Amino acid sequence: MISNTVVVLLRDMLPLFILIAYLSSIGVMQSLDKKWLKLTLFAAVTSVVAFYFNFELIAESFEGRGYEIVSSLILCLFFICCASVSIFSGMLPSTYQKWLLAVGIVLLVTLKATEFMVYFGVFIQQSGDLISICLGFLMGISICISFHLLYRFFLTELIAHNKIKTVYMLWFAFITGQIVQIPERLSQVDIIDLGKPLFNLSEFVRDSSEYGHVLNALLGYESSPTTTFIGAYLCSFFLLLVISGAAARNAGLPISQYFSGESK
Amino acid sequence: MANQLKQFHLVGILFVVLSLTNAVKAAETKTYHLVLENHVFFPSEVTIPANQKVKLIITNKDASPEEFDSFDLNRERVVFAGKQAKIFIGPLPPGKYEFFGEFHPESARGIVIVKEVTQ
Repeated sequence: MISNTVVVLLRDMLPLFILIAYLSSIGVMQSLDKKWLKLTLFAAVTSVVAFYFNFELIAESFEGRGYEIVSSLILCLFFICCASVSIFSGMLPSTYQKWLLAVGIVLLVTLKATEFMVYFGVFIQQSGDLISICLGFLMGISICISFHLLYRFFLTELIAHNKIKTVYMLWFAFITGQIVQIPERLSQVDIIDLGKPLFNLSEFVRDSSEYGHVLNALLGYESSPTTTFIGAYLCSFFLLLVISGAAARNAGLPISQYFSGESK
Repeated sequence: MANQLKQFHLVGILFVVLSLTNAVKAAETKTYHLVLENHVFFPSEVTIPANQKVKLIITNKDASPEEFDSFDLNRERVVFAGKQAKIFIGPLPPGKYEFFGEFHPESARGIVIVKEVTQ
């Protein structure tokens, strides 16, 4: 019970802690105030509660494909919001930037936290072993917080050593890792065809292992990716790089200077 | 820059629209059934043909939701109490693919055996 709670928590909540590590490292959060934080938190909690209580209704809609369709739209909007904020940070008005970021955060929190709440709800409802669940929850949250702090330190060190481009590449890989969940979700309900897996890396890192979970949260790792998955991953990742390059050129700055927010 | 921003948003929206509209349907998809009762899958072994997409209908007869989960099959789906869920798996190469109930992994376990069909 304890280990299962830890695994579910890592799967659902670790991406949120990684997201916060990026946002607090790459500087987009520097201009954010307490009012923004309170409103974003309020919107996230409201959205999670609303989504949780309508989960069944959403899942049953579109002939039983509702959850896959809605979650795909959420992931896509999350990608657009986060990518816009990071790529066009120098060009967008700060108010627009702040609210785009808030929408992105609320969307990802809604999706991930609701999935965890369904698990938590089942056990609150029927299990007498609340202590195990609470212990598992505490252990899982501790792992997530520790990982968040270590990863934030790693990112801050990279930035301090003028490796801002590397940080942005990792950030792009993270948001790409979220959007490439879409083809899998849609193929599950037969909306798209993914085809056969291209190769299998399970011998090295299994999806179910701790490393698998961490790599999945960081980069969207899949041990047996299909051609569609790899294609979608590369397209999204390089699209972000190309647009970033174009935006930096437009601003007349080298890309590292552009990302660090320096003006010409 | 405003144009680039518009183009970027259009690409994102196009990605979703294409994903949703580019539906590819198999002409004949074989259907297999799984029943979840007392947090146990029945049957616990499902044999499906290799290199074919199949439909799996999971019926949850328990009073609480369960999440059908499989790292091997890359599938996860919440099946609500007293409800059915349809998921599609494959095409897969021959082999054994484990699945389990995320909320009761000790009891709700099973395996999909993918076998080459001999004509």
